[in-house]
Amino acid sequence: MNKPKIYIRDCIERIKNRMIDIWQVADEVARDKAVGTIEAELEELEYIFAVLVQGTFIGMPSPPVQICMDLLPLMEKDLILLLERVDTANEPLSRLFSVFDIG
Amino acid sequence: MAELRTLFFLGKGGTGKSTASALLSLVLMEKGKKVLLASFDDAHNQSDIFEADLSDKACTLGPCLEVLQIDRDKEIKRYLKKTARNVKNSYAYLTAFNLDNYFDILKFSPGMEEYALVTAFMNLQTKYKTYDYLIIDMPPTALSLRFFNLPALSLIWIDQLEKLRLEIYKRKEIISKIKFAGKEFERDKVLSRIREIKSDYQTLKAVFEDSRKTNLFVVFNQDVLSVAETRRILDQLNSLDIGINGLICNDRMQEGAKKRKTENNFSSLPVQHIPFSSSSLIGMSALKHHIASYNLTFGEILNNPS
Repeated sequence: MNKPKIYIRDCIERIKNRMIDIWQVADEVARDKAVGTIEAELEELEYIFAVLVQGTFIGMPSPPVQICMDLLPLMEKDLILLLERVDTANEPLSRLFSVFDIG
Repeated sequence: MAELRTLFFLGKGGTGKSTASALLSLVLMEKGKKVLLASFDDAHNQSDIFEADLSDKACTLGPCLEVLQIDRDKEIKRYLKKTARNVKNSYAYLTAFNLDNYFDILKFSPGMEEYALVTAFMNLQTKYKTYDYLIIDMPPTALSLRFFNLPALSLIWIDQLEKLRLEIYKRKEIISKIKFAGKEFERDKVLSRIREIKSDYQTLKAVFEDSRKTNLFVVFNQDVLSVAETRRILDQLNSLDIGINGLICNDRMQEGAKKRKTENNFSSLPVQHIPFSSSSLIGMSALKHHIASYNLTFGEILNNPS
């Protein structure tokens, strides 16, 4: 006679797990949405930083060369970001629209 | 143990910085002080004055006197090689691919010369910290001023970069707190490095400004151009909060010749005269003879706080 009891407990457990999953996904989506703009802002700041420090490679005014050289070994990610930006450099408006989720 | 005192000799090209620094080195050596004379000037005048083939390895020329000639190109190459090695170690292979070509060009970048001299200066300060005096024969005015300006100028940039990096750091912190409950937040290596560089430049700037550790002397001749340039050096260094301890007037005229009024322009600073010598001041014996003949002590400028 124990079988139905196990079944109910199992069901409750499944429902609970499913709710936890739904909650986690919803939480993740909400958190993603909450930081979306900050992330875009962060990427923009990182880009500005990279251009400022390594601008010497593309003929921009830059800090004394030894500062650029001292930071260069730590800036692989920033350089990759700079190169990625070359692809979208001619479409600044579409970038802006996608950041703010317009259209 | 006495603290290392650094004496810089600046001035217009050809005024006698090398001769003055060589004479002072010998005066201090005679007093039993441990002295390193380092020439930062590519003209290699110290090699000619001491009739020795000087290099960046210290050459012993007296009981407690060593002399060396800084090789600027070698310093730049060493620095760029180290940076290239660090880049190759920390970058993925493809990102660092063909990087050597960049570094071959970078040695010609503006600012590398003064940075090479600053690096050489910091290395000498560490290596010879047990010595009494580090005497530096500087290159002509333009490069010397860029050398002294380097810490202050770098700090302006570093401050701005630190502010920007802090903004980046703050946003990363917020994202990490919201998205990952603060679990995946790593330290910002770039910010840490910026702070290390800042600390190095602050230390160097403090060394330049500390008259107990660092003294500057400007060598000039009694001619209008030399005096005018000396005035500009004083003004420029004054704007960097770096004081001059004294002037050295290298007399190019026979004793008794009419002295111009130019000297009076610097009445607030003590002036050490190096009297005219009818024969070339080349070789140890000629230098020692000149010191003994005129009883040169450099006492007044050495004991003057800036």
